[in-house]
Amino acid sequence: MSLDVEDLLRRTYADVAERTTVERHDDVTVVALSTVRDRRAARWPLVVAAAVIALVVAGLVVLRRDGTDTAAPVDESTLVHVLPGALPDADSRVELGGGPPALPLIRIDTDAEHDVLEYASDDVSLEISVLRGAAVLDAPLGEPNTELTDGTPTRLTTSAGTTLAWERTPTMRVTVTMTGAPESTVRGIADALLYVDDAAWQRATDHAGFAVQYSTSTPGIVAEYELDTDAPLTLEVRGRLHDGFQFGWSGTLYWGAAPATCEVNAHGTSLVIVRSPAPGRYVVRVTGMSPLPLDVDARVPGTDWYVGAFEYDPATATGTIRGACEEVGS
Amino acid sequence: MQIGDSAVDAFERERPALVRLAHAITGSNALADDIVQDAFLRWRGKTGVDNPAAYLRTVVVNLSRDALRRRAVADRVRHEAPTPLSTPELDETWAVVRDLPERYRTALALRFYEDLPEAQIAELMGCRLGTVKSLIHRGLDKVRKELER
Repeated sequence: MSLDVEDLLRRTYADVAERTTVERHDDVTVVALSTVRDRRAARWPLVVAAAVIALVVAGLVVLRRDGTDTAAPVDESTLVHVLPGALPDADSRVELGGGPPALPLIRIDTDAEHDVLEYASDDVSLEISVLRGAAVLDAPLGEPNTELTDGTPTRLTTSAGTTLAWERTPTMRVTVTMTGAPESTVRGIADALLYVDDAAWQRATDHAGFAVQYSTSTPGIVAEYELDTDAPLTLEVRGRLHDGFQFGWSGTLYWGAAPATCEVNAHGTSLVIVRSPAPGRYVVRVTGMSPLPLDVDARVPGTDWYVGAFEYDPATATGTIRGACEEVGS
Repeated sequence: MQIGDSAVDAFERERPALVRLAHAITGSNALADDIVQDAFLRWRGKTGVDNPAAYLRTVVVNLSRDALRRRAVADRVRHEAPTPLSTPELDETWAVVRDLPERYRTALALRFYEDLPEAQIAELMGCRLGTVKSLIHRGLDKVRKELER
């Protein structure tokens, strides 16, 4: 007797649908944000990181440092990375384009055994790192000599800045090192760290930690692609790991063509980042869209590259996104 | 566009169906939940959407496909324990479907879960009608062969 695959598929999908759980996210958002806000008010000025908002709104698996479960149920053994829940609101911050200042993220380094997030401006540096696996046992931490707010036994050292280090498990060590800021600031950052799983980590670190949130001086203009070739454009891209980080600039849109020197990357999402080794004006051509004029002139702090970004409408752009860009002669 | 309470309520009404659809395509309940939340964020920043339900469904289909094209995501889903179903027969079928390439999974889910006509599937997937017919025919064939092994 031949197999009725169509019937089998219908029954399978119906069963999958019946067993699909649907999380609500609004309660999670309220709890997590209010907690962070209270903590910030009681401590040295810290800024709630865009990471907190983006991750919580996206409903990803997050566990706060005090162990409060914000998206139950959570398998704690999967929470092997950390993300900042707050970043320093330092006096010395970098002005980017036309946007507000921010302490920029300058390095993400990650592999099976370690993660590093490094932030730096002229006077302040912050490194948040995680060591996993046998490497933790190979390099003893030393006796704890202080505690974090939640009572976690922690090792405090003050050579070359202030360092707080603790072992969440015998095979996972978290270290926060900061220069140019008082110890209370380092403690505030350590207290606000979020433990996350692989998926949340990957999502937060995509696109060099930029990603997903954008706005323009004319709301909807980029998404709609109704571009006025003479209109000034200010585009802001906020990143999960970049509190207050924005690409903001104004320019005149125009049309033209020249040899391509930049890269277009869709990264499997609808955010397209155009990267160039030098600032320039480009016309970007993406499948299914009219050519898009774009200034690629926002320098990424700590790197030698420049970016511009836009988002295509995922409802209208389908299939593989292919892009090319042509520099317009200056 | 500022999304008001009524729009949020409308989204909440659509959410279960959207999560089920994304789950059927991606094979991951957790990923489906993230995708639908992303779709909401995109809708929130969008102006002039006449039919939010249709818009959200299109965005969810495209975001699901985008996610599966990313190798790291596809690998994660592959190693994720599938939702246990009510019979071993359905469990086995679901395991086979979750292993299909992205285009087959999308076409089969839209046809046999959403019950969409092939022309509408072609429109949603941005391909020709003939391509959809071929994807469904070959997808069914792949599932049959795997189950008959």
